[in-house]
Amino acid sequence: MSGADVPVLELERLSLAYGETVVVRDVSLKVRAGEVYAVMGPNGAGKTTLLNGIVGMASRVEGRIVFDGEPLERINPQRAAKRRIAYVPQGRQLFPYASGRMNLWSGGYGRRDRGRLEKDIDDFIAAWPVAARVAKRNAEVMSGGEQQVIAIGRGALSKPRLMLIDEPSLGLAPILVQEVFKLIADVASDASHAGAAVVLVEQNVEAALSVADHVCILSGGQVVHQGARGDLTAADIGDMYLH
Amino acid sequence: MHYLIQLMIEGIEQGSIYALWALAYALVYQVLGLMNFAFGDALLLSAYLMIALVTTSGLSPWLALAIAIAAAAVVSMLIERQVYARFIGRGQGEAGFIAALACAYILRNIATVMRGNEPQTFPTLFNSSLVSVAGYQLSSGGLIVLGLCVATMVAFALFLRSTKVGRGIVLAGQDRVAAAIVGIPVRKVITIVYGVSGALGLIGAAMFGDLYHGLNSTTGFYITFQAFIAATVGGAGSLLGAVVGGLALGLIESLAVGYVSGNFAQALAWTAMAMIALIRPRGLLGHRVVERV
Ligand SMILES: Nc1ncnc2c1ncn2[C@@H]1O[C@H](COP(=O)(O)OP(=O)(O)O)[C@@H](O)[C@H]1O
Ligand SMILES: [Mg+2]
Repeated sequence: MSGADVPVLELERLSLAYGETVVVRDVSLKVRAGEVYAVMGPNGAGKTTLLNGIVGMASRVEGRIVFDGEPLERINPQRAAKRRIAYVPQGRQLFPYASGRMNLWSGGYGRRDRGRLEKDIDDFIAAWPVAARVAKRNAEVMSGGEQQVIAIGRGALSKPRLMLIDEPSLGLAPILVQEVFKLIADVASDASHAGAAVVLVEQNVEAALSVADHVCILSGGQVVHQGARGDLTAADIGDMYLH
Repeated sequence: MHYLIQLMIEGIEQGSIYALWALAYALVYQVLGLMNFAFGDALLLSAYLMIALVTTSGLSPWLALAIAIAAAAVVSMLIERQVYARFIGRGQGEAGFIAALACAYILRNIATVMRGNEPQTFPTLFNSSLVSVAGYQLSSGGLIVLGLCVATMVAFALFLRSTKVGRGIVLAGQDRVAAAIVGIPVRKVITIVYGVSGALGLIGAAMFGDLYHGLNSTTGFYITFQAFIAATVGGAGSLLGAVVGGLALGLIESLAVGYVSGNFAQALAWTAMAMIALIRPRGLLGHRVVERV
């Protein structure tokens, strides 16, 4: 196990492509366990691609991805899951005809301590009323917010070292946005397994700043600003979106 | 009324075999969206192996059946790995379809090289006799077939519902990207699905062989099409639908034999199934009933 000062994830001058098209250029960042790194930027900036690249769904053309001190080579989503990287993709991608509980269960598929999984699911459902409400309901009939809570829960039940979350607030009622961000903070600080490093892609600037330790803004595939949360106000970030 | 009920009981016995085939067939379709048209001929080859083990090697029919179940699983997995995977991976659906048909013939030819073109007598698994239950004359063999098919389906449902691999199969069938994201080994699951499909199908083929005391070289295609029709009419992609479709097909066949003529039973049954499909294009059970776990 690595100490708290070694970043869980380190991107070094990473460039990513789909086929021949380079979409993300020269991105560097570090996230430690317990920290949330927010990635913001306009539509088409390359935010989703950045997360895809970490799990091997976009190809790395330059730079390095270092995870727990080791470079991630030949990665794909399944291997990423095995390394305890939880991906909560844009659109949530739940299993549509499986219940909330079964979706949560699926997150623990690769866990070694599977004997504890059922109890962890019970605990999660007890802690989050939204999850309790939809535990028996199929994902396809859940609201966006309910799906999002289950999707993050699914990731959390893998006991992740790193969680990648893409636009969790998209299409959610304001009340649920609060709930979802409470959940994200909880995942990052989860004391039961030394906390997770979180990379959070989010366009709702205020919500993102409420949980983020670090922020970067992507535009046209490149970093246009990067720093600690305190460096910028929501208004500054709003201005940057416009350029 | 008495005659009708008698026919319906026979139809359900028959239908339970079709249900098993349709279930095995639909399983592959659900996980892969692939029409496995080599399905029946993989079973034919394995059933011929069972016949050979009994008639020429003198094995007990039940031991031979166990070996044939394993053979059907292995043959199905080999076809998936060696043939389908090469086409599906490249997104060449139509070519994969042709490859499936070619595989069907190759398997059938291996079977006929092994046993010849003549119809094959199937080893007796149960000594059947007529039993009288509440005034109905029923064959004990038919009832045992019904019981075994139902038991197999119940065991399979429990496997899907309660085991890690079974749940992995169901979830991978719903969304392969989501499955990969949570770490379900999708490639391995697909191979397992083929193996399970072959094993389930062979149990059905052995029940069929036992009930009719024989198989011939066209039985493979017959099995494939019975399974395809039952699964499609029942609700393509729904496992429970496939079972319902199989039972419906058995019932319709039995009624056609009883009230019209054995000569037209097949034609009438397939026509009736086409009409059901016309009325219910999404199948008897829509898409979203069984996949709940
Ligand atoms: N699968 C893909 N293949 C090719 N280009 C893609 C693919 N997905 C996204 N892109 C392109 O990459 C760029 C960045 O997209 P994306 O990462 O989804 O942006 P964001 O998440 O910031 O809105 C866009 O120009 C988009 O058109
Ligand atoms: Mg995006």
